[in-house]
This record gives sequence, C-alpha cells and structure tokens, in this order.
Amino acid sequence: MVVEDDAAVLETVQLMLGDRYDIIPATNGEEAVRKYKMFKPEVVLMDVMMPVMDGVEATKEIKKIDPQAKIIGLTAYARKKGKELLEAGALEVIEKPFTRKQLIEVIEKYLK
Amino acid sequence: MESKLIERVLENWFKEVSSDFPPELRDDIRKRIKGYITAILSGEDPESVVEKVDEEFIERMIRESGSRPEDVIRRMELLAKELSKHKEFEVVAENFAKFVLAFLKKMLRVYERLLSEEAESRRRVERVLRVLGRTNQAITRIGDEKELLKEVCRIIVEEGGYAYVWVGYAEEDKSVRVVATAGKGDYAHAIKVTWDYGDTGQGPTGMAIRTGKAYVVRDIEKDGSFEVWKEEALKRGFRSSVSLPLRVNGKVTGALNIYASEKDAFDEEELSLLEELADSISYAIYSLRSRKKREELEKLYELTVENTGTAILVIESERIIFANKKAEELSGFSRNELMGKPFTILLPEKDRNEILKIHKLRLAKPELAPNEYEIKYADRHGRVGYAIVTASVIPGTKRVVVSLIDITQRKDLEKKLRESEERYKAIFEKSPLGIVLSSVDMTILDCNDAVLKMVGMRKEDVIGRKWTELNIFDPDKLAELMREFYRGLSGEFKEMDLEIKVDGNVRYLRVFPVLLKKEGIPYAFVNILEDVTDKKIAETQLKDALERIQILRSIDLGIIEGKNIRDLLSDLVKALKQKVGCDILAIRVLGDNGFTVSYPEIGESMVKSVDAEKEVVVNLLEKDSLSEFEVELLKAGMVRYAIIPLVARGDKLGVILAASRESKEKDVEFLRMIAGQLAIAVHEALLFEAKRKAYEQIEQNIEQFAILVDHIRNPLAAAQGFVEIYVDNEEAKTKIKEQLDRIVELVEQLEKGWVKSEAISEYLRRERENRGDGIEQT
Repeated sequence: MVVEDDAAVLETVQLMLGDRYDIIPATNGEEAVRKYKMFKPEVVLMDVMMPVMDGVEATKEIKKIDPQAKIIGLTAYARKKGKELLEAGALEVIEKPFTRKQLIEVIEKYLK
Repeated sequence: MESKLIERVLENWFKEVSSDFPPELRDDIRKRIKGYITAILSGEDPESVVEKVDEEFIERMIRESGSRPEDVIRRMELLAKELSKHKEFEVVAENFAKFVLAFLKKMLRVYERLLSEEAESRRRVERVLRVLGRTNQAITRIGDEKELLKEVCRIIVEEGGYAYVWVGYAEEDKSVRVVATAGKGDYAHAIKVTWDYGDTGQGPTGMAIRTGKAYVVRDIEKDGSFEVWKEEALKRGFRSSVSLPLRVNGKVTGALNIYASEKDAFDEEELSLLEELADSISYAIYSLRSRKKREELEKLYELTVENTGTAILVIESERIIFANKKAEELSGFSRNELMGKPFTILLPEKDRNEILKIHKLRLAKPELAPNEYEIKYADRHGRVGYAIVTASVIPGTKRVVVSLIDITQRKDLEKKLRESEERYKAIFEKSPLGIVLSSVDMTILDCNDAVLKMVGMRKEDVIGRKWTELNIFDPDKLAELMREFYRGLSGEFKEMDLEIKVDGNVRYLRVFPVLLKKEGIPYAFVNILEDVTDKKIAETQLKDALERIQILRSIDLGIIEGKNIRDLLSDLVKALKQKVGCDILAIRVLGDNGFTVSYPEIGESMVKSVDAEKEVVVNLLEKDSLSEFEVELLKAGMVRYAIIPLVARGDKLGVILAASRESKEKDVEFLRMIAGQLAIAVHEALLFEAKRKAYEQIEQNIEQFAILVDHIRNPLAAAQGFVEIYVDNEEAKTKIKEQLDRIVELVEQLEKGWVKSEAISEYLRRERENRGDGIEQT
C-alpha cells in the first residue's frame, strides 16, 4: 500500500512499482488505516505530512491493529518527522526524492 | 295516821338526827322520809316504796353526810322508837320493819358500789403517784431529753399500767412529730396527727397542743373527735385516752398522749395528777434544754476566749487571776505560772510604773484611763514584743479584763515594707522605662519622670486625669484603645504599641500592662512604658524596604515566568493600592502599544490623559480650575491625587496614579521610592515581551521553512520518478538528473541552514527556561 497525499508522487510510485507489485493507493492516514483493515497489505509505504491524519498517527493506528505491520516511511522532512515515524513503529525511512531501485530494495528486504 | 301526827313524829325524830346531815340536805331528807312513811302508813307495799327511792339520793346521802349503814340503822331505830310512841303505828309496824330492811339492802348495795369505786379511784391515783415518783427519779437521773421521754413512756406503761403512751412535738409545719413511745403496737407511727384545723388536727393531741389544756376522750368508740384514728386505736384495744400539753418556757411544744384499755379510765383526781406529771416532764425538758444551751454557751465562751487569737488576762488586785492559752504563748509562762503573779511581770521593767499608774487610774476613774493603747511586753526570756492592749473593768467588780493583740510581727513587716517601699520608690523614680499606676477607670494615680518625658507634660497635668483626657491619642483610635482596655480588665490585656502625638510629632509607646487584683477583683493597672519611636521608624523603613523588594521581585518573577506585562501590572496595582492606602491606583504604560491597568477598574477615558513629566501631588479642593481628568476624579469622590512618572534609561515609559477620598497625605513616598525600580522593571518587561515575540516569529519561520522544503522535495521525487520511467534517451536522462541533483543539493543546503536555525531556537528556549527555573529556585 502506498500512502501519499501528493498525487504526482503517488502516481510516480505506482508507475515505478506497478509492474512488480499489486499496489493499493491511499491519499491520507485515515484512508490508509481503513484500507489496511480491508486488504492487509504486505508492505506500507507511508508519507508523513498529510491532511486529515498524518503518517505518524496512521502508523500508530495500523500498529495497534497489527503489531506485525511492515511500514516504511517516505519523507522530505526526514530529520524531525522521520524520527517520529520510527518511534511510532515504522521499520525505516526513505528520504525524498528516491529511485525505483531504492524502493524495490527496501520492499524486497521486508517481503522475505 | 294523820299527816299532822306524822309531822310531829318526824319533828321529834329530826331533832335527834338533823345534825348528821349537811344543812342543804336536811329539807330534802325530811321531805323524802315523810313521803316514805306516809306511803307505808297508807298501806303501800314497803318494797315498792324502797324501789322508788333513787340511788342518786342514797349516794348523795352517803357522800355528803358520810352516812354508813350502821348510821342508817341507828336513825331508823330512833324513828321506829318515835313512831312506837303512837298507837296508830302498831298496824304498820311490820310494814315499816320491811321498809327499813329493804332500804338498808338498797343502801348497802349503793354503799358497796361507792366503796369499790373509791378503791378503784385510789388505785388509779396510786398508780399515777407511782408514775410521778418514778418519773421524778428519772428526771434527776437522765440528762438527755430523748432518753428521758423514752424512759417516762416506759414508766407510764409499765408502772402505770396504761396500754400505750407517746410523746409528740408540735412542729413549725403543724405536723406532730413522734419523739417517744411505749406499749404494744406501733400506734403513734401508724397514725397521722397534726395540730392545724384540718381533720387530723381536731383530735385530742391537736386540741391539747392548740388549747394548752388536757383533752380526755372517755370513749374512743363513741367520741366523734376520735373518728380519724378510731379504727387503729380499737384494733389495739384502746378505749379511752388523755392528751396532756407539754409546755416549755410557757409555750406548748407538744403533748403527752396516754391510752387506757378501759372506757372512762381517767377520773378527775387521776387527771389532775397526770397534768402534774405533764408539768414535771415539761419542766424537765425545759431544764434539759436550758442546761444544754448553757453548756453550749459556756463551751462557746471558752472556745471564744481560747481561740480569739488574742491573749486575755483578768487582773484583780494587780495579780493575774485568769489567763487564756494565747496569753501562755505570748508570755512563755504556763497558765499555772501566771496565776497569782503580778501582771507587771509581763512588762519590761522600765515601763512597769507607768502601766501600773494607768491600771490604778482605770480602777479609780475608768473614764479617764485609755481603753486601747500600744505597749511593749516582755516574755519569760526577756524578749520584748509589741502589743495593742484593750482593758476594761468588769462591771460591779474590781477586776480588769485585758486583751493583748501581738503586733510584733506586724511591726517587723511594717519596717520591712517601709524599707522595701523605699527601694521600689528608687526604682520607680530612676527607671528609664515609664511606670504609670492607674485605677480601673483609667485615672492616673502616679507616674515617674520617664513617663512625663515621653508625653511632654508636668506631673500636675497628669495625676488625677484619665488617660483619655491627655489629648495625646488620635481621636479615631480611642474607641479601639478603650476596647483593648476593657479586654484588659477581663485579663486579656497584652503588650501593645500606642501611637501618641506630642507637640505635633508622632511617638510610639510600647505598653506592658499588669492588672492588679485584690481577692480576684481588679483595682489598678501598673503600666510599663517604653518609648519605641526610633525602633518603630526603623521597623517601618525596614518593612517598606522589604515590601518594595517583594513587589519588585514579584515583577521580576512575572517577567521571568513570561507573564504578560498587562497581567503582571494588574497584580501589582492591587498590591500597591493596599500598601499605599489610597482608593484608586493606576499604572499607565505609554507608547504605541500603551495600556492602563487600575484597581478598582476605572474607565479608559478617565486615565488616557493622565500624564506628567514630573511628580505632582494635587489637592483638588484647593485648586481653582480643574482639568477634564480632575473633574472625572472629583466625580468619583476623589479629592487628592498624585502622579509619578516611570522613567528608565532616560525614556519615560509611563505614569503611576494614586487617588484618594481623603485629603490626608498617604504613603506617596513609597510610590516615589518604587517608581524608579518599577520603571526599569517595566522597561525590561517590555523588552522581554518584544524578545518573546521575536522568538515566536523565528520559530514560526523555521516551521514554515521546513514545510516549504518538504513541499519542494515532493515534486522533485515525482520529477525524478517520471524521468526514470518516461525518458528513454540516456543523455537527456543524465542531464535532467544532473539538474535535479543540483536542486536536491540546494535543498539540502537550505536544510542545513534550517537545522542550524532550529538549534539556535532550541538553545534560546532552553536558556529562557533555565533562567526562569534558576530564579524560581532562589
């Protein structure tokens, strides 16, 4: 599942990974929590700064539903928000901008 | 026989016998005999004639003429002899003989009855006499009233053979109290007897007590006065009773009540003896009581003389004939040693002649001799003491009774007291502390020089006047002072400071009051006064300084805590108003963001014009024309105000306004002292507030910056993705990526700057927090 409020970034990620994985998109934290309950995705790529519910809050909620959930942070605000995301339960954080290779490597690491 | 003949016969016969009868009986006897003879002669049955003779007549004849049967026989013989002289008598001789026999028989019967009655009467009299005798013996033997009455009752029953007896005393409440009883059955305690006019007071006992006369009930069963007690009495077999009054000192104090088993048991003679018995008992009671009283009185006299605390001597012919215990103690001689000795042995030798002269003068001309005087006495060891002597001649004798009150100890005490007084007087007069003695109505009785110095008055202006009349107290504070004073009377008086005015200058006196009491009742105050004016001024200054520091510290703390300057000054005006004692206190801060805080709150319009380059103190009542602001103040009831500018580092930051309803000068001095420091504090507070706002702006900027960078990275990420996906030309891909990398590099540089800014902001925040913590801990 890719959680991102910026439509261009969401589209980019879908284009980068769409040929390898089934992608569930979500545009804010609340939608992400709802969709996680429905689809139980194997990996979640989570943006931090989003409307309605931010990435830190959504990570905490998902971890409450499934403590085993594998969440990877995507952030431009890595130094401060990245830290908060890790504290909320994310496995690691990738800084924007990122390459396809970077994304695949990290996803594969947690799919094993 | 003819009547005349009978008359003649009787005439002759009566001549012989008339002297046997008392004159008042003679006619009756003669008439009766004539009647009897006539009846017999006329043929009437002699026995029926005798039948008609009433026994009362026979009884009278026996009693009043002392006739015995042999006398009657003799008289009848004489009559028969007289009758026999006449022939007519022969026919009735036999009948006459029958009459004489029948008459004699009847007379004998009466005679025997009378004899028996007399014997019974004598028996009764004898028993009463026996009772009287035994009672008199008991009276001489027994010294206790109750015991005596008990014994008398016993004697009356046991010796007198009466059924029951009790003695009752008449009580004040009209009841009759049983004091002694004898005989069977506890009758006296089973009945209720009074001596009032109620039912229980109408019986023999009540009557005897009320009337003072003996009251006899001849037949208890039938006597109406006994109705109340009849049942109880008959149950015990009592048939008659007598109640005899007991008199003590002429007053009836009770009754002796005797009960007999027979009806009509008390004849006159017996009654008279019983009255005598009651009198004896009465007299015995009186004697016993008198003796007891006398003994008590004697004991009292003895106790008085022995315990009066005064030595008492009786002197006759210059010699001691009586001395009490105290005289023994005073002289050191025993009573036996004193007896018969000249009284002068109790005097120092050199005084003896003079006292002897007074003694002789007293006997010769008592009115010229002093009755009371002070002497020196000497005891057996030659020790000399002092005594007050009171002497007087016992009326009708040559004896002098002398009492001596030993005043040696008092004299010593007086001496010590005099010495002590002198010492205290010196302390009183020389003391640097003021000492005032005042009565409970606040009148000044005495005071020392120190007091006069404190109040700036002369002694004659102070003594005899009340504290409140000295015009040294503030009239407004007098009421409180009086309250304190009255609290003091109930023992709550504590040390207090008094403010007085001497020659227009305020002085402070610390008063330590001591309430003097006699037998628990306050009668005076001793007030120790200390002039604490200098101390008080120093204290006030210190207090002001402390309050100033406290107020300034509260401003500092407020600043450090980051308190809003408006809130800070709001708290401050309240504290200042209380301290200064004015009615309105306001602080106006000038400048673009200027504002006013006041307590109580006053309209902004009123203070907007408050300003002054220099300090001003204005009494509105003394001003000819008023500004708009002053009119507003006056409308609010203020008559006086002061404005003090707040100037720090040459900048005028604001003003303090203090206004009051009274024209009296308030503590503006305090405001004056605090104004400089307050201005600096306000300056700093304003500065601090500006800094705080700047920090807030920086923090806001940093936050904005971070968001901006984030927003740049998103399109960068998208652009990089799109290049990777859509651009196939490797050269173009490389070039676009190079440009994107440059942008990323720039963003990272910006980020580094942001990190630095954030670190600075963090540092400033920490420093601000640390400063606050540090001050709070001091």
